[in-house]
Amino acid sequence: MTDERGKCGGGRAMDERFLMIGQGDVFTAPTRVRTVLGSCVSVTFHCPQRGVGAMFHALLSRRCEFERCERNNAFRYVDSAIEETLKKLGRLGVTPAMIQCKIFGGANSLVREGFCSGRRNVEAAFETLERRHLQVVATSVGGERGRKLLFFPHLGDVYVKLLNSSLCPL
Amino acid sequence: MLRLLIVDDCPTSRLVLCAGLRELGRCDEADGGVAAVRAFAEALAAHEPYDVVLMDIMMPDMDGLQAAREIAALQDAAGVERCARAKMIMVSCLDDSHHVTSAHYECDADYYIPKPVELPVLHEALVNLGLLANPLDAEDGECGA
Repeated sequence: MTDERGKCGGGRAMDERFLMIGQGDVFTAPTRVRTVLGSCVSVTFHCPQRGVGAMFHALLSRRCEFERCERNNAFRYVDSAIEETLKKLGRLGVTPAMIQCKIFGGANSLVREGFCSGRRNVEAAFETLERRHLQVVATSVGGERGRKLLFFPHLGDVYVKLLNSSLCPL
Repeated sequence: MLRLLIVDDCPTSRLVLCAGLRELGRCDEADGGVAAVRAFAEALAAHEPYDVVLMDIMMPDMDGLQAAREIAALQDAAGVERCARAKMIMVSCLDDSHHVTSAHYECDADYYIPKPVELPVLHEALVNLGLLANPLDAEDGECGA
């Protein structure tokens, strides 16, 4: 098991993973998961009992609104990303009642407004999480600056820094 | 040491938050939105502004969302730059989408933590708002609080 946030047992460096737009995964081993968000949304999932977690980086709010864009990538859309993550966690025996979620991102993009609204992404996240009765323990969303995230899925800890630039990445 | 303003009409909630945060700095209390806005204005005028406000939402005299708006307006009027503003953490038993998104997108809340508050989550929020040391600080110089 982890003895700190940088090393695994035996002093081995912890696995690293960077999530690009439209990517998400479940992590059963101690991992440092990173991403950079603008109006995109990341939801982190943590199961304290099992010490596992998950995270995604979604660009758009609801899959049904963009069905023609990219049918096969569930992690591109906030609602389907949550469903896909729950499916993967379910295969590990993790039920919604065991999960704590945190929501990040959804900045007000100064460009692409209308196409990619941060607020709509966050609303889609809440709508889906509420429908699945998932517990949200913290949110840090909105504003005009992007966010850099570092997530430790086995602990549930999330560290955030706001980017200096007022122009958000996606 | 941080200056914290804890706003809640429930004395027990204020007591629990003060006990959990006392070691980080000076915790002042307000028992409602009106008292919070008054305390914030007095601190600004005395050039001893708060670093962070923990704001309940459901309060009888003025709700926390309105108090957050008025505190933002006070800082606008005083010419406080955005990066130097007090961080606003909403702490509420209301955890529905409407209240959370209104707090963030209409009242400039930086963080929203549903009750019951877990102190590690609150501590993490203070880290992520640049008020305590953040592991990401050491990684590069491209980010700011």
